[in-house]
Amino acid sequence: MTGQAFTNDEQSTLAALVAQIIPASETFNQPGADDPEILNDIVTSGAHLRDRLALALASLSGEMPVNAAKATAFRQGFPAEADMIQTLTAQCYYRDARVMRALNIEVRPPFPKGYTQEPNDFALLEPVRQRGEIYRTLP
Amino acid sequence: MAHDPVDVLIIGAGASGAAVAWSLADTRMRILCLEQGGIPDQRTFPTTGRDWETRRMGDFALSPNQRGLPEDYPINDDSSPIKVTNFNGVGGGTVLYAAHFPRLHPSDFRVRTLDGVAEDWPVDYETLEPFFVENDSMMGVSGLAGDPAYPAGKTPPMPAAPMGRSGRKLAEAFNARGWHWWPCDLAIATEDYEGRAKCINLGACISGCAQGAKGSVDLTYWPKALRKGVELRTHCRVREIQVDDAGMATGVVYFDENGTEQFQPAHVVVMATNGVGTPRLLLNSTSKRFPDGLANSSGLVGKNLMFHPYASIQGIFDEPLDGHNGPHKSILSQQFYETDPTRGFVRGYTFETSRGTGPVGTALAGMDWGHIPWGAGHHAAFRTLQDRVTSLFAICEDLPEEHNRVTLDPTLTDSDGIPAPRISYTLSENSKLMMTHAIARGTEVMEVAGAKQVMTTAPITLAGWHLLGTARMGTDPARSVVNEWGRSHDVRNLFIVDGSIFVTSGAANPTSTLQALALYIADQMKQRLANLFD
Ligand SMILES: Cc1cc2nc3c(=O)[nH]c(=O)nc-3n(C[C@H](O)[C@H](O)[C@H](O)COP(=O)(O)OP(=O)(O)OC[C@H]3O[C@@H](n4cnc5c(N)ncnc54)[C@H](O)[C@@H]3O)c2cc1C
Repeated sequence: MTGQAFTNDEQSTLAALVAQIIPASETFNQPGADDPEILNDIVTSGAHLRDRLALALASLSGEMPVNAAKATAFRQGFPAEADMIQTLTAQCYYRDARVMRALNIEVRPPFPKGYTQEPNDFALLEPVRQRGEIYRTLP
Repeated sequence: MAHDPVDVLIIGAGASGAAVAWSLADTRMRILCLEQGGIPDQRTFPTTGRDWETRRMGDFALSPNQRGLPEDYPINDDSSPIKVTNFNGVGGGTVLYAAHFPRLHPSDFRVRTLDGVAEDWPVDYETLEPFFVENDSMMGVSGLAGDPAYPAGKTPPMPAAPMGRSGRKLAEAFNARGWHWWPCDLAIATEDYEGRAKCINLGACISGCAQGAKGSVDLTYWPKALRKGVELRTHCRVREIQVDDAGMATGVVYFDENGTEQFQPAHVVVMATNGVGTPRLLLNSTSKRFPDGLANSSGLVGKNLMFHPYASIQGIFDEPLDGHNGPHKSILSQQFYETDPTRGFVRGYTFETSRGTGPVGTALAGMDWGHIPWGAGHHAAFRTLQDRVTSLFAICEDLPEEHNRVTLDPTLTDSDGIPAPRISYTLSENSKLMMTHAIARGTEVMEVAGAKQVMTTAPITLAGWHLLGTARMGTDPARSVVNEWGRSHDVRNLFIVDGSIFVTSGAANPTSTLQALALYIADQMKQRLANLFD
């Protein structure tokens, strides 16, 4: 499984495909998944998948440039590989600081700061209390 | 290497093994626990990094087959629509659990008498009650007293965790339908508690709690058991339990952290290796005297596997809810817990809420549902789901059926060459009817709550987290593997205390009951020390 890393050709194909999955958006001020930093994360984090993706990527490399129709055909022709690439892309894209900021997510891990929550309002339980016991009593 | 014999050898340092170790330590016997994994280190848990959602699909995956760490053993679950999840290390499943901590109901212990199905348990709710209370205090449970779905007297030691916007929304919907709901009992500290810092709503309980607020037994029972003198040997995987000519257990063969085979003699062996690990080990422990596996004269070892089929009902809302912020579970409903013959099935289910997901989880779920497209529409569609999805899970009672079972795989082995377990499991008609009912009722709740779209799944595939029934307890040696206080009918110094001894599954997450039962068995052992083997 620990084969070689993605070749330059494969990286270009991957970049073209992930740009079709999550393209850049001016409206939302977000980079595309083919942004160099994000792509670097995808290529590095996905190195262990390279051997499993190589064949599928090779089939797409002859189709460059990749457009929406070709991406859809790829998804249909290689569903398992497309699924892996989709997962990898989402994992790397949504932890990018610029993306998180654009989505109003604080750029930090959950720990150690954590998050706040609103206090409970147990007045809501009044009707439940009023209806009384609901467990089954034994004979 | 020859080891000195110990008085009590516990196999497995998970939920039940930890409780038994702590309780038996009162006796000042020499107690040793062998655990195949290591001690988890909270400082390295996923929520300490921005890649926390990714690690849930890697080294913190729920399935041992996906994780594939050295301490994991593979499980062939190809013949089951529900796949096994676990954690192999000190703490066992409690390291990854959601810490939802409801008890079984009194009726669960009497299903044959009440509904003419399965078997009655040889113990009842009342007998276990003091052990529920002791366990709630040891695990550090938060919640709210007065739940009308239970007999009076259930008083969690800490205040309930936050319901949040999602819990509140669903609570209002349950109220609108006139149905029961209540804040969840959670083994999560909502105040600083016995050295544990309080919950700060990291929202990734099932990836391990970096804050240490969640009551996993590596943080609750183990420190206390170790202080009382129990010895814990990690990275030691037991291959088999050996017996002498008289049919008494003499000790265990295990592989130490270097992969070297060792024999550990013991006067008493206690199995706490869970509903899959225990039948696996018993079936691997064959001898001239026990050719079909140890403690298996009933032929029931590995049979009657129960999972709790889960149905999921997810609602998409217009306004932001909680996202992943906060403990996964906030409220439950046991409106449909007890049998109602008009529903067309026996027994019932619990609804538990499941808060929401982080951005990666949102994007992946959205793309799976076809809600978030590839291409230009991706960003706008993502925003319609971000923090706007919340779920109800129905935990359905699974009735015991002998064909649902754990056997040994003929070819698959773990890294020590020990035969791995194979699961054969099919959903019963009763379970299917129950899930259909749950999906209809859950959809009603979501719609009343204002969900603009509802997605359902049944069963959830990766939800084999409750592993029950494969070495059940009972008074009749022909119909059970251990007696009413956990001792094997066949081997008088062998005890089983984990989820495999459950007679039925009830419709509630099992760990509270499982640990109360383990404490009860330890208590019985202490009371019978003078004549434990009679
Ligand atoms: C993702 C997830 C979520 C969950 N959520 C909840 C919840 O919210 N509420 C709830 O009640 N329950 C929940 N559970 C289930 C809960 O974790 C289990 O019910 C509980 O841990 C079972 O306790 P046990 O003692 O039977 O076994 P475990 O806790 O599984 O412990 C068994 C131990 O034995 C060890 N072992 C196995 N074989 C060997 C061997 N041959 N040699 C040495 N050691 C061995 C294992 O490594 C493990 O540490 C969840 C579980 C998971 C995985």
